[in-house]
Amino acid sequence: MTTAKDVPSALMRQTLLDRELVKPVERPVVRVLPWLTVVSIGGRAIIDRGRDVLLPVVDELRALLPEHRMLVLTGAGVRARHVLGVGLDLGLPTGVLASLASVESEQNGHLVAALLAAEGVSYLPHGGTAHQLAVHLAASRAVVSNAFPPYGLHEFPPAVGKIPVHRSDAGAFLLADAYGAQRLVYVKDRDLGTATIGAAELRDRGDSPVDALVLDLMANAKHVREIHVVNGRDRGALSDAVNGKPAGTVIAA
Amino acid sequence: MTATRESLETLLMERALSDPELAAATDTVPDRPILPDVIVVKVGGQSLMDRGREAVYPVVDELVEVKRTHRLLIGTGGGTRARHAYSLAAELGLPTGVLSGIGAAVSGQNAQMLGYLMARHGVPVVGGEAFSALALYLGESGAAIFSGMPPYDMWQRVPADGVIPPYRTDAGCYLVAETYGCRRMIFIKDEDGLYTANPKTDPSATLIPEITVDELTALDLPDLVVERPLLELMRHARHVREIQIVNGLRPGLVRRAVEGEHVGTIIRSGS
Repeated sequence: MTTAKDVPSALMRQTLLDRELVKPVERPVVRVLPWLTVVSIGGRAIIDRGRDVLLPVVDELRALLPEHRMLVLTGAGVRARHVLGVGLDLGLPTGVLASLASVESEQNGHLVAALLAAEGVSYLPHGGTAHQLAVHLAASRAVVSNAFPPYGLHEFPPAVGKIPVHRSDAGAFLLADAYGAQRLVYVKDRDLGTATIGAAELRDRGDSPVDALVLDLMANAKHVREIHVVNGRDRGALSDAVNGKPAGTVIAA
Repeated sequence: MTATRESLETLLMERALSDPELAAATDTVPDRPILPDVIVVKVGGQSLMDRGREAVYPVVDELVEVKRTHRLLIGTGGGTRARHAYSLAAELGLPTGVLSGIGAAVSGQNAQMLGYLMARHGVPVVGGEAFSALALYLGESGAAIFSGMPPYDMWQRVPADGVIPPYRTDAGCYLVAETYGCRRMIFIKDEDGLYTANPKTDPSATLIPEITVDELTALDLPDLVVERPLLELMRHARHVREIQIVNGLRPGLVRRAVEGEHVGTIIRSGS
């Protein structure tokens, strides 16, 4: 029998699957960017609606720049639906559909970044968002990135059918939690009124304004224990939510 | 019944993407597997690579031999350096996303090393964008190597307890097999298969030659030879509905598993 060349560590020679053995290395998780505000802009809800709806949201973001350091994420809209339709018809698998749909939210990011470029805001691809966000936000008040997570070919097989499960809402949530962001605001075309609702309750009701997967992910989140959902067509709602004033709906874990 | 193209498109345009009717309509569209004759093998990190030449050279020889008759996608695991990095990062209070990115570098190193060993046989290492040229590499050399860690990075799912990334190289290799609609998924480890407990630490552990995901979930074993979330992925898979775990330290088993023989533990999505 050969022997392995080990690096000594508390997890050495473990499968990392024994729940008891993994415990000793656990510590409270730090907030990597505790001052970060994440704003996720709906593709279909906001961006696809064009200038009448998108420009006022962009104006609000612009006005928030002096007071907040923001990661603005963009979702995918009607073009993603189209490419999913073509891809499905061609018999392509979920992992390919995920890559294709992600291109659309990325393009929406480029549109929004161009509208804010004069303020020093640029589009940052996934790699930069995961590894150089701090320096970009030291140079600028905000950056724009793709809300879709980089699951691509490694997307999970869905429980039913072939629509990729990790989309914009889930991507924004996972990233905000990994960074330990102060606040996560989803800009949609509806909210459930100014109220706080529990994620579990909302799941049972079945009318969640965010993707139901987010409600599930909230259970394991280390930092983002509540999310804000505002109607982007209500002027000022986004600004109020980012400023911590009552606006839209708060979903609590 | 197959949903008509029109009704599927209407649902796609009008419903939320999480809509159950839409999901059901997409379920009936016929699949077209991308690389249906390819076999994905995963070379373990801790179980093989970390053992050095004694363990790795024979496996490399076997893979080179097998690629004459079968097309192989070879994924790599992490191993002891990943465990060191996870342990250090967890102790520093860093989040799962950071651990996921660091872990990916380790399976990347293993892919690189395996690539140098197999270079003389024309086997390339592919990653990222090069995945789109996979068919060419497989056609030219019969095999290609990739880093097993999925690219979830800061978007890795967070486990219920602790911060260790739940979806690591077992899940990463498996998902490549599933997305490409490959014929088989074989995990090369340093045990004969799945045991009732960790055979390295528990002498009473017995081998389970064959089991379904449901049966395995019901057993709720404290330790497992493959990553636990892999079982949930298998449950919903459309293409790769079984995996086999074989002992790479025993000569000849890799070839036999590639050829479809039952030489280790087979885990099936359903009965």
